[in-house]
Amino acid sequence: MLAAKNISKILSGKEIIKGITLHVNPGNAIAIVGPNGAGKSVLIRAVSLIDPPTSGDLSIDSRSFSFPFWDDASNPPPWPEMTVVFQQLFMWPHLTLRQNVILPLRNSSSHEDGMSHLECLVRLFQLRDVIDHRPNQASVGQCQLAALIRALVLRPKWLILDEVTSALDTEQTQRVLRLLQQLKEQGSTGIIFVTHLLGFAAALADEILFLDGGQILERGGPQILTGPRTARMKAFVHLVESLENSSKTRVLHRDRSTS
Amino acid sequence: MSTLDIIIKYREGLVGGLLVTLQLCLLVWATGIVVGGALGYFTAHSPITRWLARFFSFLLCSIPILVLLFWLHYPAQSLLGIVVPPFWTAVIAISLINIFTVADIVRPVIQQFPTQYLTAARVYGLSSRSILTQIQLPLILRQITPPLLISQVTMLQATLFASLISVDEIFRVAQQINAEAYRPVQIYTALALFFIFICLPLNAFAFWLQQRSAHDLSES
Repeated sequence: MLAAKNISKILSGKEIIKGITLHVNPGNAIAIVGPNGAGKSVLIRAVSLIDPPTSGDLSIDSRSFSFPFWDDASNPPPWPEMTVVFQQLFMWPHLTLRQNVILPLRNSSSHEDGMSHLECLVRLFQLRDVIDHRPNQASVGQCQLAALIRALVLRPKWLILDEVTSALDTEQTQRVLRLLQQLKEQGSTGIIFVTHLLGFAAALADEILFLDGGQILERGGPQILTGPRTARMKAFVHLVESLENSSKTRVLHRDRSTS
Repeated sequence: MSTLDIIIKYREGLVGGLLVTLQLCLLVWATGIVVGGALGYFTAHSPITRWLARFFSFLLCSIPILVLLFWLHYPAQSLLGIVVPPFWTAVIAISLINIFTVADIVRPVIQQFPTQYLTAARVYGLSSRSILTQIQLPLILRQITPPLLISQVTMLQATLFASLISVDEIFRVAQQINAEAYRPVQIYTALALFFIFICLPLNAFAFWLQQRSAHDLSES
């Protein structure tokens, strides 16, 4: 289990996230939704130990981390068992997309599996023409898919995704959704993801956290998106949905049958 | 006598001068790159040593090479009561300048290295060795190689000042030949051609690398 208890993060004197508690099991997914500046990215960067929390407790499987008394030398983060796809991707600019994926696999025990998984995902996302190009020669969306592949081929137990579909077209977003749903069904991976696509959140997540001002205003199953209790969340959901409706096409229909 | 005739007639002297220039230059390049690279690396993350290194760099930059060379050649040696062969005085003086030049090129690149690439590498489980050899070094080398090449061409040209403390390098040999043959146009044209032959490709290569790496590393 991955559990965060009462974690807070203070950045330049300001409390960005305030006492958040969450937990996820393998085979489950948690969505974090909310307006810009709500602290979504800060929360998952804290949970993934990239920018550790200022206070609180974190336990990942049998290991526990207490803040601010964490000594990363004696108790290193469980990377890459817990893997992050960054919002800004951080693809290494001097390597091709393929090399970006392969480099972490080199030390991995499951090198063969990773390589065949890579080929499979390249086919799925139709990246054959760009996979041997450098990040600056590919589109942002293609880089985003490559960044997702870089994390997936490591077969992480905990997968943390920061707006992984923000630059993708509807078709690719659907593919990512199906892929993540399958991954969840297999039951060995727990997913925490940030998204602005409420349909995507509803279709993948078992629990949705609505974050605003660094606090969880509402939490619950996907039904909280259709029946929000707080005025703040009502306004947010309403605006998002009216935008989605006005484009005449539902970006993602809430297909819960697969989960 | 044409330029070619002069080169053929005085080839032994010219080759001898060339060898001295080459030795001088290789020593200056090697110490500058090794010691300067280390100095740049180790002063990148500590503010005190950084300011100290920068202070010496400013100091050295404000002294003309010629003055430094003469000062080390005569006053310094008589103050210390030692005698150093002019060749080694020239090596020390020009290397000193090269060390700080190289450190000034290396330091900001290391200081401003985008750490998020290293964070990503750690998250994806790369060993510290892989992080250094596969991520850090290639990105740093790409950025420092072009200005480094250009500065080393300048250092090669600076070795000519050694002639003024009577080191028998190529420029002094050319002067000596001129004193004998009195063909300044041909002799100094030969010298200019020689430096164009060496420096132009190096500078062009630096320019090409710079263009290429700017293109490779641009964000989009």
